[in-house]
Amino acid sequence: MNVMHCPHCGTTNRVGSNFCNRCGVNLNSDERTVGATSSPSPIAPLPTSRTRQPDVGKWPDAEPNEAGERAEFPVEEEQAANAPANNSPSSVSPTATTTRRLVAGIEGLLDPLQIANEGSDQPETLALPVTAEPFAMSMEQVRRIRGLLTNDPVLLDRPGTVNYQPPNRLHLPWLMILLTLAVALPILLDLFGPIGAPVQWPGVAEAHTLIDTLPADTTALVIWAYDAATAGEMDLLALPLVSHLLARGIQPMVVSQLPGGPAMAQRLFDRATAGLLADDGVQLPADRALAIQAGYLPGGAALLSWVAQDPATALTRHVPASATDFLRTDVALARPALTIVVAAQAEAVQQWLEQGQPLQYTPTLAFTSAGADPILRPYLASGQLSGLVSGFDGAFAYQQLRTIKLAVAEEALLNRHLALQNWGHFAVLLLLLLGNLAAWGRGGTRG
Amino acid sequence: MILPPRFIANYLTLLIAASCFILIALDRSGVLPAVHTIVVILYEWLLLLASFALLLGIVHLLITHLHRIQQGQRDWTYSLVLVTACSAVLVAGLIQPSGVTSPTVEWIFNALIAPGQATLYALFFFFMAAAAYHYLRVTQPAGRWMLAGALLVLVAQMPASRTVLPAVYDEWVGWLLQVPVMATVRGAILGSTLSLLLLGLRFILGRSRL
Repeated sequence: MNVMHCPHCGTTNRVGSNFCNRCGVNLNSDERTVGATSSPSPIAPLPTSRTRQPDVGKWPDAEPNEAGERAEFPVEEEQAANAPANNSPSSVSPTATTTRRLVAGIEGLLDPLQIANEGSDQPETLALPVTAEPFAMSMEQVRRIRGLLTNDPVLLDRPGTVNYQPPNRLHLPWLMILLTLAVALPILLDLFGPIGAPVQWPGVAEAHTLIDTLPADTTALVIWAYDAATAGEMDLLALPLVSHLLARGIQPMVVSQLPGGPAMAQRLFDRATAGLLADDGVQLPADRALAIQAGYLPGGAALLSWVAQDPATALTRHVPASATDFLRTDVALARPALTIVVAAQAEAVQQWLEQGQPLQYTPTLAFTSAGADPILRPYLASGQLSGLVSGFDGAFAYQQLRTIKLAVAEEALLNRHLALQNWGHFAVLLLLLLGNLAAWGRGGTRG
Repeated sequence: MILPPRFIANYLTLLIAASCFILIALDRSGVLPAVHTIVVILYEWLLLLASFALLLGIVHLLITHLHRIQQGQRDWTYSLVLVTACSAVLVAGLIQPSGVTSPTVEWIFNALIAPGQATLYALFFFFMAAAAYHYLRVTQPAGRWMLAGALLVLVAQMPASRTVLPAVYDEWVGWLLQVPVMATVRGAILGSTLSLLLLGLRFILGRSRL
């Protein structure tokens, strides 16, 4: 493999690299100087200044000096390099100074120069032998000097023994048993029922109002961005939403960019439908599908623009044949009245807001996990999101706003999670208290 | 003049990327509606590519693990479990007319995949709890602020605290979340977006390489 060595630190880099992998120096500027080697030589040769033959004429491109003479190729420089002991300021002529400025930095970059011999027809090639200079240092020496100037200093009077303080033992098994018991025992033994109510953060009421005021038989695009891994939290959140949509007669058109998303959506729609069918006060439309499952849409965020611009075309690539006709003919589908992103991660909502919403001009609601809430809240404040429902708090508050209850089992599950929230928070607070007591007990500043 | 293959490949890739960028930008801006048809074709190609990449990944996964089983490499039994599970789900979906909505596939998803994934994700709680126990301490240099923030939000989110604490506490925590925390998050979002934009431009212009 062809490699090249960094002129600054000597690190081996691949030929063609722009910058050194270690020190980041620009390799292109010194590429010719260092050159490429086909073997992994540890030290590349230093660029050495070249000398001209004594009988060769002047450099044709050199600018005339103050005396009106053209500066010669660094004869003086060469002399100064070869005789450092005599290199007093008085021995360096103005010509040499000018010449050094003119040619400095390009000596090693120039190919052997050919100068036409005025006396003959045959051009003479300059022989530029490499000579050893007393000032020349090996690459290893250069590297050591640069290392001394750039690396952290090594303390010579470093103490021989280090007072190492081992980290605290976490007692993790006991800790986890305590946590599990603090949550599980009150639930299993049904010691306490649900106490209190979650706080209703801004965005929940707005989301509920928006769905509640949509005309029936409209279409809502639902981007399903969670799978089984986060279903424990997200199912709690999505169930009131789906139940609300179906009860209002809004037809969700569900698409997911996760392979497991459509199955999760179908499972949840079945639960919500079963709950609504058990309620005598709810009439579900019988002449059409309750929801359109558009399935899995690969391609990532780039395809969200297409979905926003032309959902009928973008989503009919995947839907079953039975739904395709409906999708193609339904006018409302071309412009869904609402877009709802049900996502475990904030990125899914951000991607829609960046790629899809500017092309669709419809309100967007986000139903997300509690962890995504802080990242998405600025979008709610800016108006890009018309509503934000997050975490169990949001799910409970949203369901409290509805007049139609969930199925009995689902309501019981929601209340059970209310008790779980209390005990889970209590366990974490207890954990923090124990950790700080342990730290105080040690009396040190370490954690 | 014969150009080196690497040069051609690099600049061809750059040309394709820049062309797609320009076409999609024109389409999104609405300046040139005529390009929409071309952009839709690009989207369809992307769809095909993504689907093919998914299939390619599955085939590659199977080949890799079949090779491990054949060679008897370390932990080959896990590979056997993976290949068996993959084959079982595939066969269950193929042999029934309803495909992915068949009862067998739904049972596999509901009874095996969903609980398994949820269990793995739930273990995250113990990692978080251990980290909170270890680092959210007043004796840590930066731990006091983090501990204060965690306590405030935890207490505010605890449903039982509604019965004990006054309503002004929720408003106060809400103000903290709406003003200082949101300002920080907005700064982070803006900064990361700008850096992403600049990085994308540098990449498109050939000033940066992957």
